[in-house]
Amino acid sequence: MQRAIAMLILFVGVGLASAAGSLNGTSLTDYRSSQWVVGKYQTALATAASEEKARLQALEDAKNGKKPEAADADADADAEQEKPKTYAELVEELRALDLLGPERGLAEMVRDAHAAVPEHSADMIVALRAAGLISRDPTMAQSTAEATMRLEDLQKLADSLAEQAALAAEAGETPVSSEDPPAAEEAVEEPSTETADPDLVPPPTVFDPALAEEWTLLQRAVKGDEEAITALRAKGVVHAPASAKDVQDLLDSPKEQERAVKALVEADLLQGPETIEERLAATKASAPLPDPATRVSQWWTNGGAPWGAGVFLIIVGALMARRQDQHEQSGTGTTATSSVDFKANVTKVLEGVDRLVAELADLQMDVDAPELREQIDTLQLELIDPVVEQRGRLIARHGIAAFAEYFSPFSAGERNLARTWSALTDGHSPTAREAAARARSSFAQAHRAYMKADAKR
Amino acid sequence: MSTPANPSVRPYPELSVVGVMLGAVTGIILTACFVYISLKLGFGLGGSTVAAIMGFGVLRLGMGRKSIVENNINQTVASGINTASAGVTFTLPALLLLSVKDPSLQNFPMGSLVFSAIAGSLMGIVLIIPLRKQMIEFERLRFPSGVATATLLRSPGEGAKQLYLLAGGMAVGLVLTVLANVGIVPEEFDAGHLFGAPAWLPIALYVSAANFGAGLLSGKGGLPFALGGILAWWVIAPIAVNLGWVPTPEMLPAAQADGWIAGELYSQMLRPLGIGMLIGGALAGVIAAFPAITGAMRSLQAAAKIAAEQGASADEISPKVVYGGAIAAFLLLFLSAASSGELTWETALLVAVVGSLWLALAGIIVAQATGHTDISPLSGLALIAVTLMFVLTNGNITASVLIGMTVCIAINQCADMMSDLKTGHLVGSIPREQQIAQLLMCWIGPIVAIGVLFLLWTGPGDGTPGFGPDSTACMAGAADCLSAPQAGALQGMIEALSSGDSAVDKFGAGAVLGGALSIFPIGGLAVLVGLAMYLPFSITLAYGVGCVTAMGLERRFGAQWIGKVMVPAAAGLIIGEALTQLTFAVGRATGVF
Repeated sequence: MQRAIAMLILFVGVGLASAAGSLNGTSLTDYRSSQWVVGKYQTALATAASEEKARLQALEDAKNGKKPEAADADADADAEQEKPKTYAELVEELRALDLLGPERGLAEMVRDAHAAVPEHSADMIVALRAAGLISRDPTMAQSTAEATMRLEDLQKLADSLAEQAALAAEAGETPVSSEDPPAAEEAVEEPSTETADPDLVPPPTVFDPALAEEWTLLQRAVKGDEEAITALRAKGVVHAPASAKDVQDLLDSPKEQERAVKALVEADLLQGPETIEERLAATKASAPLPDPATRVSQWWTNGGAPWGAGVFLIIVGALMARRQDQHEQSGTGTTATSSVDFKANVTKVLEGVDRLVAELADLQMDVDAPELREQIDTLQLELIDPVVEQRGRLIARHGIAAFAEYFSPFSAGERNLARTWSALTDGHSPTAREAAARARSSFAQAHRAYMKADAKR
Repeated sequence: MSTPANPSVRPYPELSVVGVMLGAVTGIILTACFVYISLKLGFGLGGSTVAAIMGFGVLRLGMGRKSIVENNINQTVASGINTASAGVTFTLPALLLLSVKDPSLQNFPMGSLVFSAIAGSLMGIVLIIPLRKQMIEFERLRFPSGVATATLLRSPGEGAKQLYLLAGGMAVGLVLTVLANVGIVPEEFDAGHLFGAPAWLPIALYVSAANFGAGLLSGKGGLPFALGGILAWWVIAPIAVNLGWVPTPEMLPAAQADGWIAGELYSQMLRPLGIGMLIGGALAGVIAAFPAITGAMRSLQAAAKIAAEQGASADEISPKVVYGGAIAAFLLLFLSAASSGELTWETALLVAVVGSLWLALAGIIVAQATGHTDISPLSGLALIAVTLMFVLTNGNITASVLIGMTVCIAINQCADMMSDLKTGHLVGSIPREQQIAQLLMCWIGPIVAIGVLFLLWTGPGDGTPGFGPDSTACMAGAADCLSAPQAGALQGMIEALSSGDSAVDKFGAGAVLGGALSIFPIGGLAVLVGLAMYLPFSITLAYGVGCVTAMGLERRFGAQWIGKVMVPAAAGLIIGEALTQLTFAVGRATGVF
């Protein structure tokens, strides 16, 4: 009964201490909870890397003229059954679980960029300029140079128009101009007011008022007149500093859309598709792995008390069981009488070995003697094994050191009996005799040592 | 070798050149095969039964050498050599795989590697020898595989009935393993799934003839193992889940929740606690058994002295050899660490001292675990070894894996030596002869295993890795892909360690718990309960069914019936599965199946 109570206490103690021992501290719980999500992100990233590697390998193979290996039918069937998810499928799964933001296509981002221009045009220009998509602000010198070039073009145009006008006059036809200038007479009739400056060459007579004004402004610009350059920039004759319109134009250009959107996303001016790397980093940062000291201290806070109580119960149960064992071995225990008597069993073993030794004395080489092996088996099963089963009680009775003194030769005797059995099987009677004699000596020694240990109690 | 008084009588061979050489050849072949198989399939196999059968064929039938004990020596040598394959393939490939990403890890010293592995092999043997009496004679650990090998070795002398039982058990083991391998019988019979039980409340039986056979051979002694599993999964798990102790992500889909919770419970809560219990239980066991161990050492010395005085040979190897071997192995380990170019000599000394101490403790844990159940918690103990070395060497991965490999080889050697000594005890071999044979040949396994491993690694010849996920064959999904899954697992552990993830809280809590459990007067209780938490429950439960079946049969038919009928049948189950599994493994690795 007492042993049963001890077992029950032990079981409760192990359960309590194990359950409490397996508890996690708060930080560790958070960290572990985040690991499922981390695992999802890492799988997706690893799949992406693997797919990219495979793609590059396929390209390389194609370049080298290597044909892809044909998979056999069985492999295909297996692959069908255990097909790993593709990166695209994993991304879809992450989005479905709200672990990744929704997909944002190019059109959607272009639309958002257009909407953002009025408010963020200056920043957008900076970002797009950094990406090389919008030219830098022109300097005054650059504008002057552009004005010079434009002036040269206009001079060529004027010469061409004058020539055409002369030819038309000769033929009595109306001159035709690519820039659609008005009739020469008209131009002459309404010269530009800007020609008043005596340092400036008046505009050619073939020019209409708009071209004439441009001509004048260009002449002023060439001389470094900032006001004229500003006017020319406003007219778009020379390059102007980038404007909201430039950004809009860029976003409308199918060729440049993708690059423009990318530049704006990188500059944080436009919300791009959320990346797995970003979410992975954020998840890791939100629940970091606690250091060992924190881990132990938080566990102790959460589970220390029930764990301690469990360990205490284990010790109480163990001590009760030990006490019960000692009580039984002292002779007053209820099961003491049912235990095997070492002394009696070994005495019977010695008698059996003596008979064996006698029968082995005349045994010839290579003679099979199954009846002798049977005798050894009987000694083992009926006398030796029951003693072996009682070793726990023998330890409780004599203590481990004294137990070792007599159980060691006992085991040696048992092993030598087994050697006798093997030698008999192999038909080697001399070895069987020698081993049997050794077994007898060992059992006798065990008997003596046991008597000595019993006398000391 | 026994020398008969009459010179005309043929000798009775035991520690013979023929036996040792056959064992060495068998061991080398098995090691080379098992390195390849481990890299391909992720698990290794024991070589004792194969070697014993080879011994029958070559020694007994081919050469007419009728000696059970000589075959025991052959099998001891072969399995001792093959032991290195598991230790090497579990650890060293992880370093090679890591070196693909981090080229600074590529320049590890080959000499240090080989000497360190040999040191581990030698140290494992010399450290476990003094515990033979404690484990085999006093504690009477079952070592089911050792019993199975002994049953095989003894088969020529058994009656026809026992032979039929052995053959019948082998046939059942063969059929069940074949059916499982071809997919007709599931790997696990999941009754819980049929009843709709959640994954964190498993009611599943691992379908394995060997596991059931080991349970049968353990009988009542293995019951605490099954009870430990029941306590973990049927008591603690539901409490933890219902009290919300298991970390669960908010967005976890309901369909995946049970699986995640079961995985967390097992890998992050119960398993590390089980490792802690194994450590605490083994440590307390050593302390409790210290008087017996010192007594055993004294009796070794006394026996050696008496034998010397009488001009006879003692049954046990001389303590001087044990001490000398231990010192030599320690020096070899220290020199390997110091000459690795990775550590200062002070750190190398510290690494050698701590490594040796941990190696001794881990060796005892593995020997006890395999002694009770035939199951080795190798990966957990290797993780602790690598963690310890990682801390001691300030995060030096090369040194950590190097010592981790040494420890793995050593603790496998401990378990193997003890299992072979159990076989020897049952067939009547002289322990000294077995110990000498294994000591003489212990250097071969590490050299063969490391050599084959590097041969496979450098196989492509173009600088690309020969195995692992980044190898050309695995990337192309080719049939000759060696994925090295065990090394991948250790690589993951090392990467977790590098990020500071170590379950120190659970190791500590479990160690104290294991120590407290050791006070209870049932031998190996803490190791059994700890091992039950360390392993998947389906294995523990199926093993427990074996134990309960054996207890029922013993009650019904008596202890003698158990010895005469059940033991050979159960041994047959183990041998049948081992041989069939080996055939399938070789077949798969070579592409035949």
